[in-house]
Amino acid sequence: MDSPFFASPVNPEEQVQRDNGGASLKDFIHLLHEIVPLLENVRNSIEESSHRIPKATKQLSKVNQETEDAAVEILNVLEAMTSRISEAEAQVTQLKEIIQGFKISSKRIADGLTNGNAEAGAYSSTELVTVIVNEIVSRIDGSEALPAIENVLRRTKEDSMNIAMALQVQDIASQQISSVAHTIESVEAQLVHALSRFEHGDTSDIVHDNAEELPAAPVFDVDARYSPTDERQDIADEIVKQFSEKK
Amino acid sequence: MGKFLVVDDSLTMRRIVVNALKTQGFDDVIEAGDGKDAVAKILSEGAQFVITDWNMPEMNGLELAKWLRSNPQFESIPILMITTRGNKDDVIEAMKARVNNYIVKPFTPQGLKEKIDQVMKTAELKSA
Repeated sequence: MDSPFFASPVNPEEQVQRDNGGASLKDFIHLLHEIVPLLENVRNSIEESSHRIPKATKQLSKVNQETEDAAVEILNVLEAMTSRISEAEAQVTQLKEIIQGFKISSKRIADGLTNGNAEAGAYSSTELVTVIVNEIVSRIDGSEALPAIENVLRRTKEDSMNIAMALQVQDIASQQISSVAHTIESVEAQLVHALSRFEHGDTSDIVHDNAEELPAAPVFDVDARYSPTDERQDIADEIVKQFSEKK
Repeated sequence: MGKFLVVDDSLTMRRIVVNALKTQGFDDVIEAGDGKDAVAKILSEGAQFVITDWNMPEMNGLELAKWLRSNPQFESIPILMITTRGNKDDVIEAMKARVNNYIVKPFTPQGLKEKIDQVMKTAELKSA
């Protein structure tokens, strides 16, 4: 145990170092002179990097919000589709009843024609066919099942297209995530660079020196956003119009 | 209408655009994953209408538009740009590169149809 009162025995090498105490202090001060600018550079580098992190966080929150918006949009369409399909099912039941009636009518015609005595002599065979066919036609014409089913199919087709359109969020989110990934890579590169310079005692300005050493920006639009409103399209349309008028 | 070329590095986007085109009756559609691929397709298969994204690797949509406009053989091919880039300066830059119309993602089938109709109408007027 080292103590001013109970000093441990000193070995000869240690004694020499103690005798040269003045020189060691000089070395230490010299070292401090070199280290301070390096630490300053590392601090600047960390500060510069730390400014980018909140931006990346904000962008990730945006991705989260926009993918959720798109998911909600898709779910709304799917719910509406499910409800309409239920309506269509009811119409199909009505169509089945019409077809069942058609079968019964066909049997009545067949029986009348076979027996030669159409419905207890009320009609001739030809009259019977005419009456029953008219019954069938009026039942089909009176039914709203077919137009309703047609409408459901048309709207379901439109909804399917709307779902496909909402999936554009994948492309937009992918660009936003690429942008965040690039920010993280840049921060990592800058910190690695700062530490490397620290190790090699390079005191030149890290933050402003290593821009060319940061990862090259991949292909993405940093401002990509999923916004189904027409605001940005309206601006684009106005510019397109101005250029078209110039021609 | 002849052959459409849809250029986008996102497979999802290509499928969405191709699907929207086919729903509107444009069945003759080919695809390319970037500008360089698009140039190869145009040279080998030809195209009468180009729908392109902007941000793509290798050769982007703006470079593709400039290539088309600088090539007498293809300079009159209508170009519709569909991109996430919705800033005023971006649209101006694209129009200076002589794209015919511009759609900001996300687009709607109606919006796409409207723009194709506008471009075709202008192209017809020019050729008349």
